[in-house]
Amino acid sequence: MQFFVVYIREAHPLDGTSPLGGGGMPIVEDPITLEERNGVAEVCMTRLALEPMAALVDGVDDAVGRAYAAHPDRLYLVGRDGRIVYQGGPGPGGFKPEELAAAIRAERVRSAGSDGRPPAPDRQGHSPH
Amino acid sequence: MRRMSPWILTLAASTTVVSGAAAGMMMEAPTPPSPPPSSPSGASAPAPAPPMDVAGRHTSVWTYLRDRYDGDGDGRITGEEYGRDAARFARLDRDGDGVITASDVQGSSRRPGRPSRDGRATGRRPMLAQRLVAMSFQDDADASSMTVAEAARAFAAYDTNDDGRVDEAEFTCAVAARRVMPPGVNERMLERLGRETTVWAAMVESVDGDRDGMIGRAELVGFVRPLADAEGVWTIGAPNGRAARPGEGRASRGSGPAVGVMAPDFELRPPGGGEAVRLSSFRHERAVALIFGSYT
Repeated sequence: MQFFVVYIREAHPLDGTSPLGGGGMPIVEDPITLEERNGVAEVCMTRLALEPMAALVDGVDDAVGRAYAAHPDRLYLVGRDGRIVYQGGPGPGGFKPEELAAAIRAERVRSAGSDGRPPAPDRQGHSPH
Repeated sequence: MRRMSPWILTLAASTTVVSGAAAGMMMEAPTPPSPPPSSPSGASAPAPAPPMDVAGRHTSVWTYLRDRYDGDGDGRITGEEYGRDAARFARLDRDGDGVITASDVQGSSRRPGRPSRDGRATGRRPMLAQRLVAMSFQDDADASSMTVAEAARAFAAYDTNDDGRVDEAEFTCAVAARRVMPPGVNERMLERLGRETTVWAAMVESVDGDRDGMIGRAELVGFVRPLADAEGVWTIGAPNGRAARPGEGRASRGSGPAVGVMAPDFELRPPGGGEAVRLSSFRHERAVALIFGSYT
């Protein structure tokens, strides 16, 4: 099982249309460049103790966030066949980690019940058989 | 993204491959040669501080902005001092006086869902409030955009006693007199949304910053201006008030890939630099959980 936090556009930057910040809420300006977004993402991963997961950062064109209709936040599980196994509801109300956990458990049971891992192709792309 | 299941974090700790080792997992698609690190001055140069309160020192948005941008310490952040882009400056300069001051940003220093100590409006602009304001103050109720100037003009026309505030009576008379749209349109919208309230009350909830039950000119301009682009044009209903790029349509509000469809492929990098990761490289190897979100 692989986990990625995909860091996308800020939901409530202080210079956006729905600003939050202060009084316990993080104070963040809407990043303009990928470098700025990388910096915010690194702080976020530490502050929210998400470091057991690897982080990837969406480009400032928000292409991946939009492809997954992921703003402001959302959970997905992609199966080993590359297909969506679980699509969480749109955040924040639909962001339910317990649902993702249940989907992961179900997927692991499904994988364990299959014929076992197919032999991985070697680097030239040919099956060992 | 604040709430994360401890079970997921524990599982992630034992199974996630961090990016350096992940390159070895990508056996199906040859990894392209990695481009040089993003920092042009080389890997050893320290990255500039990200645009945020990193240490969590600031209790308010204003002190953060002041410390970061108010170079001459006069309590006013000019465009030159700010130095980022014009659209973001315009959204911060809520009263439109050309400088960012504490009073511009006071509305944002708050947790969501709680009134502020000074009673100001939350700074949030729910879509319902946006639509009601637009339909009430536009020159042309059918138009998909309006300008800050239009809002100010309509305000002046509604404010029949010229006291700088529009109260419910002035508003009701003015809207009825304009006859720009068939009566009852806004009321029917509220009904459809299941809102047990009047048009006036629903609008005032988001616009009436000082809670005096009336809409002041600065409050209306302060509501509309951050939604407008650098030219002062507000595209009503667009995410963040900005017109969509050609071909984008309402893609950002689409439903996303449903169960059973192929996950849209992507290639993204970790924030600290390093190998790019392609989602499809995990096919036939591992399932991948994706947690989309941001810090705010």
